Amino acid sequence: MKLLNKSLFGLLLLPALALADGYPEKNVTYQITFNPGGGSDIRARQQQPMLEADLGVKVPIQYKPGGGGSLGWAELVKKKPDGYFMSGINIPHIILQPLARENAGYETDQIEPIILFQQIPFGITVMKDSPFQTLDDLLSYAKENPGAVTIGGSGTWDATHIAHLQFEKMAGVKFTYVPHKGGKPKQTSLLGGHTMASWFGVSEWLPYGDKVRNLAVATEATVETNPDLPTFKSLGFDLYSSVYHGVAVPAGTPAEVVGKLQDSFMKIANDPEVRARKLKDGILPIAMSGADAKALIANRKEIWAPIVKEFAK
Amino acid sequence: MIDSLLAGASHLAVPANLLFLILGTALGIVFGAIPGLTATMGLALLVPFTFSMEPATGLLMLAGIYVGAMYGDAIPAILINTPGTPAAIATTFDGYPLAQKGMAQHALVAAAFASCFGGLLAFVVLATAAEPLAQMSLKFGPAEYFWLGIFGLTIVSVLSSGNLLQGFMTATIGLLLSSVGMATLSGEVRLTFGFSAMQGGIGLAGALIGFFCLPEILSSVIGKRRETYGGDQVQPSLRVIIDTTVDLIKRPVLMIRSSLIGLVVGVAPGAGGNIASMVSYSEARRWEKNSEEFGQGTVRGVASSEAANSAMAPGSLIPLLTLGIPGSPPAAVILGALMLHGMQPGNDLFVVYSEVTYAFITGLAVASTAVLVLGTAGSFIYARIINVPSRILAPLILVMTVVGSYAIRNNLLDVWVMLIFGVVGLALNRLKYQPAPLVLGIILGPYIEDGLVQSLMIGGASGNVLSYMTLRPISIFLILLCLVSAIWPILSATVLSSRRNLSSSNELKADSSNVLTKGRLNSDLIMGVIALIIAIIVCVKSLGLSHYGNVFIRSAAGMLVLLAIAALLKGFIKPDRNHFFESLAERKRILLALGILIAYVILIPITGFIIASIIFYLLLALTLQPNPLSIKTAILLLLQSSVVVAVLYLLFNGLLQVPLPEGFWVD
Repeated sequence: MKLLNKSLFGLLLLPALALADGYPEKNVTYQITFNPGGGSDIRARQQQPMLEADLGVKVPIQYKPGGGGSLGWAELVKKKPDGYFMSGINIPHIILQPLARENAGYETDQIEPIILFQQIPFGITVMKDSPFQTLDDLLSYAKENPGAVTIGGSGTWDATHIAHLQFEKMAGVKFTYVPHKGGKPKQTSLLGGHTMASWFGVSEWLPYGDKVRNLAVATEATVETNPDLPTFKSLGFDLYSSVYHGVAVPAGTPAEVVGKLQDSFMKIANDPEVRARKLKDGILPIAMSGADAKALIANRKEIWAPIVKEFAK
Repeated sequence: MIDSLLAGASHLAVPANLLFLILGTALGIVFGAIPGLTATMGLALLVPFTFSMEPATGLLMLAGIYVGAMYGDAIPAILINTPGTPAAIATTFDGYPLAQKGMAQHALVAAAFASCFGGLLAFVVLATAAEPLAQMSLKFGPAEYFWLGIFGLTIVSVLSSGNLLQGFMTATIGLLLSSVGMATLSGEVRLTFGFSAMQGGIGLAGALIGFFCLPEILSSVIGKRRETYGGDQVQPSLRVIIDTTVDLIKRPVLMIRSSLIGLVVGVAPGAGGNIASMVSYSEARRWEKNSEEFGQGTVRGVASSEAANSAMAPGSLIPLLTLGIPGSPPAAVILGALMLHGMQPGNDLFVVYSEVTYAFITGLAVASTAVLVLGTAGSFIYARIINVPSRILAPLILVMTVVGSYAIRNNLLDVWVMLIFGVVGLALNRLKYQPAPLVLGIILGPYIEDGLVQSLMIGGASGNVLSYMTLRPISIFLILLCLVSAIWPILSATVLSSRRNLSSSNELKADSSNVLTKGRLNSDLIMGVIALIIAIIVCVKSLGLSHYGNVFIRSAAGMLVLLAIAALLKGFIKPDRNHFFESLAERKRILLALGILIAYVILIPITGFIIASIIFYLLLALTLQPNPLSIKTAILLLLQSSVVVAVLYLLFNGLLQVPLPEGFWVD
């Protein structure tokens, strides 16, 4: 009996050991939860050759768009946690979707982050000819005319929306938040004068140069690309907003496998050429380990849960 | 400017560059021609290959893919009534009837010539007037998109000639179908009936394949047991190429009008080819002489659609290159590729990298020419595809419908949606309801809804929604277009009614020769009841949604109720009796084929794509065998099915890197 137990135990352990030892033995699928050709796709295709060289196997890219990424993440958590299926992840999406929707198809803690490799901080942007010179101008106008100021964002329950709700609460003013079908339509709206202000990421405002003016950015310290731009913090608002991009596997994946993938992605994230290109585009290159990413997710979840509860019906 | 163009063109004198451009064009034609694969996907798959290339070489290849795909999608539209991409829906209207008359090559050549013409005209505009047009594109706001969508809906009155009520009812059902899944703006999950896999909404690719391809196969090939897919054998010849080209050259107004429509729709960010070709087709039908030929098979119809969607491609690059705003989804991928090469759109592109930029722009023109060459020369081969016996072609096409609907989103639910749409399409055909307005509704729904919701928000902030939505120059222009479009049928009704009576009586005669049993189904009563049920379900299911989440659904459902009541009244007063099946034998064949198809889709997740497809192909081929079955033919068919499926698998999984469904136990 004891022997049987032992051998059964051994049998159970076997696959896990085999996995860690020779991993990866076959192709590792890299899932993108948005449409082909989007930002996530282009990033992944940039990483693809470097990953293949480092892991020694093919890394085919597979798409599962829909529901703002939720279909893909629901697919991820259904997969075997053996390291042969990974998926791009976005924060705050993977935190906010399960909070805001009854049936997102997955829970945040079913996702095991491997790495977060970049961060795009957000701020409020207006056109050059806007009467709002400073954040204060915007606030005092909005205070006198509640709801008359339109501020664009990329969607509902995404980084821009949650930042907007937090900001409205902190400042005690009412704007009209106008969600869009993603970042590009949001930019077009501001450029065409359809919205008066907009939540832009650094990488979104940089290409427009001096056609636009930024009022504040939601980071701890000033951003390198715009050293004179005040942070919300320096203006008295405890607001930090960024979108983080990374990669994850299903929870329950053996630690050795996660470690191996993390090593590969870390090499890419720390590549000087990759970092330089990101900085030029207004993207902060980071190399946040899975463990740190988990802590970040837990922290944000705590801050956002009450806000989502208040505003989601 | 001329200098920059010449400097750019000099890149094309490099043999490698020209080679990659033409290679890209050929690949683009393939991506466009396989239903389910799109230009966007082809571009995304090729982007990594451009890393290792010179920027100019890489961009030229991408230019080729984009331009090639805008023509490629016409090939299946013409041959098997299945638009390769949504931009070719309008190409099926006349392309397929032409192929049925044995004039597939005429249609293919017309598509190639019109694509080339549209592409070249748009190139000239892109090279000369990009900046002012880009500024115009910014004027398109929520209100403008709302009116553009409404104007699109008025096309129904042209498409469903003779039966406005039916057309608008199916279009409204299409609008409601478009709202399934996550609302793009309010983020709410709607009408998914508890399936989280439905949050992505109804995939357009799957819906199109099911709607256009399945009914044709089920009724002609399987139901009527037609020997070949097209009616007559096609004999391609050089004569056809010359005749068709000369015919189109003699119609400059048609060609220029269609191209300009495509260009303008392309410049408006986010509208794209789907709308361009539909609008262009309906305008051609409105303004051309002998408009009753449209829909019966005229090269003018094919040309109007293809010139527009090919002009759309350079058009969508105008706001992209100047402002960094992609005018269509494929343009968004090109933006990504530009950024990867460190080129920022705008000033950067036209000053710092002007040589590469102009090489890319000239590349579009050269690719358009390559399309003409590849298209006309290739028409000898493509046109013969439908000469292949249908018992070989039909199983292959059905396997492809599954691959195509699965490929884009890797979602088996999309395959089921495809199947359901196929059955619905067949039923609509049999009830003498046009399927096109329903698809139009699905395509236009998001524009109308997002435009409406954002207009309500922005207009609300300004204090007056109504004036925000109506008192803007482009809005006023679009509203006027809507009015003209709405009044048009009434104006032309008196002129056309006599001709229409003539042609419809001919149709009746042709139909009655095949009819075995008298129709017992009252189409309008059935559709009226179904529409009412849909409206009620939608209203109940949208109860818990926010105002912005359901304002569009409610309005559309309300309209549907009115239309349904009208249909019911019509059904009582003036019954139009039809039947689902023409004969018992036909019913048996169609139901058997459907059963095999359903079993196939059930089997896929169990055994994986390969085994399920081989079994399906074999079963269907066996049922289509005309002669009593011998062991020899059975073995031959098994071989045939294995080879076909293996080739498909290698093509998609290997070459194109498009994953196919895996089974539970094969993994």
